[in-house]
Amino acid sequence: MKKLLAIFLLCLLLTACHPYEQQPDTPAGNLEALWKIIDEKYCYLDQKGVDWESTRGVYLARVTPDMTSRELFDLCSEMLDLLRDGHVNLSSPFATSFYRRWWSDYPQDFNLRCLQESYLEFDYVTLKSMIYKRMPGDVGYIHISSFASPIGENDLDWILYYFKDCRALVIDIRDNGGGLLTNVERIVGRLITSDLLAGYIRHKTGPGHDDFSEPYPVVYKPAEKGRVMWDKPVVLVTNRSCFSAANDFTSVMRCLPQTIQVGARTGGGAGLPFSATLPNGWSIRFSACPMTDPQGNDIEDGIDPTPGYEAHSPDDELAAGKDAILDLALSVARSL
Amino acid sequence: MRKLLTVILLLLSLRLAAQDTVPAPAVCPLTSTYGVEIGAARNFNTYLSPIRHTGTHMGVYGQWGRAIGFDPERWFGMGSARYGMDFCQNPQGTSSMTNIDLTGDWALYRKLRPLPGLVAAFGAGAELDAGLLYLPRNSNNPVAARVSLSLTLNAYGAYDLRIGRLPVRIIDQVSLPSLSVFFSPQYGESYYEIYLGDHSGLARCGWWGNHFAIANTLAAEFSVFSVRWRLSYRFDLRSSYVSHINTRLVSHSIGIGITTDWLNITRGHNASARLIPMIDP
Repeated sequence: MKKLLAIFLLCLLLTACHPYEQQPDTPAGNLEALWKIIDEKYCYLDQKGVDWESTRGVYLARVTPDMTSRELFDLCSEMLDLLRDGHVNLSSPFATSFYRRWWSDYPQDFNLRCLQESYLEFDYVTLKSMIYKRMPGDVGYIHISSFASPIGENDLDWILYYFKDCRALVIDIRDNGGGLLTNVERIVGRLITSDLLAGYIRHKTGPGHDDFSEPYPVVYKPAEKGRVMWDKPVVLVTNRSCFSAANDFTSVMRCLPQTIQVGARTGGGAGLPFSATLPNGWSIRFSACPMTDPQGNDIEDGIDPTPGYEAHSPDDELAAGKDAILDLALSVARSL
Repeated sequence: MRKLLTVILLLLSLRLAAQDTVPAPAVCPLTSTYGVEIGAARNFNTYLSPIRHTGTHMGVYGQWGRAIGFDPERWFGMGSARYGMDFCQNPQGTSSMTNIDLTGDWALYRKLRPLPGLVAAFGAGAELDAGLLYLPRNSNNPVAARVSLSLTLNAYGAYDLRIGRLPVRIIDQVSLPSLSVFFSPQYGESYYEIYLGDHSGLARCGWWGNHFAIANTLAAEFSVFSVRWRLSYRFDLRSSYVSHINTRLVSHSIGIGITTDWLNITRGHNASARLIPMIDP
């Protein structure tokens, strides 16, 4: 009986109450916590060749006990910029950090006013984050500015039915910074008639930099029976400011044989972001689950247009009412 | 003739004596307790955030028990259903974390009477626990869901005493889930990937080394204004460490409830039936 009791008590000692270490809410503790979150959970450290181990010492050496919150925020933001990732944001009550060079180092290639005034002549339909119009030459045009809010099945029915007599569809996602992947799935579902391998997703299985699961196929299904479908050519228009879900949309659309991508390389952002909290209450968002295209190619740094269809719209031309990328997209659509 | 009468009277007396040895049928009332709890919670889950969140715990529960028919003097069964919510915040108050928990359990106990007035009982049973932690500020990891089915070890003690002229029953109940099957995503796995169909490795086998929980309730029952009240203190710990995801949910709460005994009179019961309550120190 005594032995049994001893075994029972020993088992209780081996319980799942594992040690839990929380960094203190000090400048050094917060930077340490931030460094550790990225070290253990960020998914592109090795792929981007970031020497994160040495970063810790470099930035901890710059921390002083009496530094202000703003100074600490700037230091942390500077450290995070080393990741070169638009999905990495540090949010405090007074600011949110952004790594901007994924788009600021490139031409914008888009001007909404030019589109609305010179091409749509302020005569278009607005539905949620979409504006659309039947263009001359029997081409349907739709600009999707964001995937942040849900696009409904009925929304797509109305738009596609409106374009039923068109010969081709131009889907312009320039300046679309992303949003919900379910929107991507919903739109693509109208363009396919059978299951489509849309890419692969992986996740971290542990805190090590190489701890990843096997790629899991992302399969999109056609829209349910009775929905308005689209089986004619599609011209997809992109620029460097297409990020995250818009980048993913581009990757999936490129799998469709009836799609041509026109414009500039997308901005990337292929890591599904997670969030965590620092001891001082600031929130950190970071890429956690890398996604690839169906061939397994990395799309974190963007997707080039279909060969032969790269185009740019210089700012001075846009200011004058000429959008070279849209001109090319419309002429390609009319020729299909 | 006298001999015959003597034999008949003897047989009759033997028959009556035999009838006296047949036990009267047992009637086992259902002891039910319904109550509410309020207290403090202290939770963390490293899938959502490495920071501990603290706040308020609230809950409602029902508990039902009765002596078991095959040997009501020695055995009783008891089950409960419990719904709890924790409303927590990080130390700075910049993020909130809500915990929702739904638990159902049942266990069979063996009664012992080691001392006069004291009933100790030990048993085993099963527990189904489901819940989720919700941290709305997060992007693609706002929720950590939990589901577990566990075999439990249970202990129960009741002691009757008097405080002044008031009879009081002191009760202590411990539930210790042991072997279990439980759900957990992998370290950095998104629920989007699970939604896509990647269900591999989500069901885990649990033991005290990776999935430990314990609940202890200390209660006092007494009758005032013809109502049996129950005042209680409950400690609840649920923890797991799997795929490097560390979870610990702790709550301390005080509760108030009402206990009643329900007697189901059915055909065959009569005035001579023995009334065997779940606990009778």
